Amino acid sequence: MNHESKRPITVEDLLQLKRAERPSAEFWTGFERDLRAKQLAALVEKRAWWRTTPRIFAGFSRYHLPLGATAILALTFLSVRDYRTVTPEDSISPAQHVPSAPAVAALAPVAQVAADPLREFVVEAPAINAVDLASASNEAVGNSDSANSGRVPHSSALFDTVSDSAAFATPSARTITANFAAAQAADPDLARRFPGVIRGFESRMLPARAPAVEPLAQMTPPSESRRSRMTAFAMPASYNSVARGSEKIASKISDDQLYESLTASRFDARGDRFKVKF
Amino acid sequence: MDVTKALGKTLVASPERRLEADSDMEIVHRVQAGDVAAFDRLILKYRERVYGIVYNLTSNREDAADLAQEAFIKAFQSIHRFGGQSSFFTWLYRIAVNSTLSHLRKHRLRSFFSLDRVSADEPVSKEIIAALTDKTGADRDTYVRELQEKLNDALQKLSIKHRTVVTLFEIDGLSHQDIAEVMQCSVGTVRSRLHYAKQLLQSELQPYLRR
Repeated sequence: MNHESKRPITVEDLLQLKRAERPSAEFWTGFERDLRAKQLAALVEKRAWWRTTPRIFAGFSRYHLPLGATAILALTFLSVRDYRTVTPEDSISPAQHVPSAPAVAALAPVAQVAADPLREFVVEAPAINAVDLASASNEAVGNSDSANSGRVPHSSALFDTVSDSAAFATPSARTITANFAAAQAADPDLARRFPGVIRGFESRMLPARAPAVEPLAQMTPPSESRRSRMTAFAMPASYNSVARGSEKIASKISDDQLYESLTASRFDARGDRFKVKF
Repeated sequence: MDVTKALGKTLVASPERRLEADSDMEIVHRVQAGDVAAFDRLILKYRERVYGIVYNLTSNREDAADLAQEAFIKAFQSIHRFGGQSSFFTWLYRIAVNSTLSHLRKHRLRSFFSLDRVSADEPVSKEIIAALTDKTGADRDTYVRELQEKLNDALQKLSIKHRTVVTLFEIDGLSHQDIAEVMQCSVGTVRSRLHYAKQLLQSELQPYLRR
């Protein structure tokens, strides 16, 4: 480089050279062609629905509040109606809600499928009054108490089970329960043959479910596992008898205290020495 | 605050700039009214400057072409939202700079040069090259090429914000006020960044400087 008798060169001067970096004329031809294609693509590009939707609903802007309020009210009404809790009055008890005779007659085809004795009973059922059914049912239980004390507990227990389950059973199960009550009232001997059928039906209709187990309840909390690790680290395995007492103590102190006690025993600084236990 | 800004803009803006801004605004109104072809005039007017700013920020001509086109498309798509709070030129610059900055952040690790030729016909570059070297012919071209690479390398070593300020001020010739508007920061910040960037460039380009 010949720097003699030349003017000073600064950073600004060098940066001026960047201005002289220019593309050729052919470059601009290609640039314009590409830009035109992209511009056309942008023009015909279908706008996403979430961009056009606000424009569609822009005309309804003044109805936003009443529409929203109506929607909330409708949702509240639907949710209250659908998720109404089952009140005690809703549950069916055979003594209180014995179906009337026409209802029993109407349900006869269902009963016919179940068993022949029941069909015979149902044919005769229209003559039975609802009040009579209830009283007859009570009488039947009383008779059973006096005559067949060995069988009655089983039958009444089954009856209770069926009546309890009626609260959450399907309409057909309720009908069968009513039929069973009516049959038991009319003919206790005949009713004795029902339990097997009813029981089998009940088991089919309402399969026994395993009690619900919370998966999280089965897990050991992380804090417990950490505590046990730290306790195991702190106490040697040979000290079994001492360990139980230490566990009791460890369960009473907090995690932070336990950790501090461990780290304090692991690091030891005395005088000019510093020991770390691994 | 707004009054101060407006006053500052009025004081800084030259009559030519104001005339230019009015002319741009007229075209913008036409495009907003549905005259799509009128946008071509804006493209023709600003394509070199938009390409220049993007090219000087990326040091890559292919990326610069794509980003400049993207900036024009974005401006075209959202021109109905342009209300004239700033000049169209500033608004377009802001779109281009923001697109470029997001591109640079996204491809921070991938950077390679693809440089345009230095036009030796321009009086300024001719004078600087002549001051730097006595070489002629092929040797001179090689020297200019080497200097160009060194210059771009030094610029790429700056942070994105510092590079933007230097490019807008020293190469594109924008005022501090305009740069502050484009970068949406204060004029003081622009001055500070410019000073720091020049210091770094000075240390990087020391062999080519002469006092």
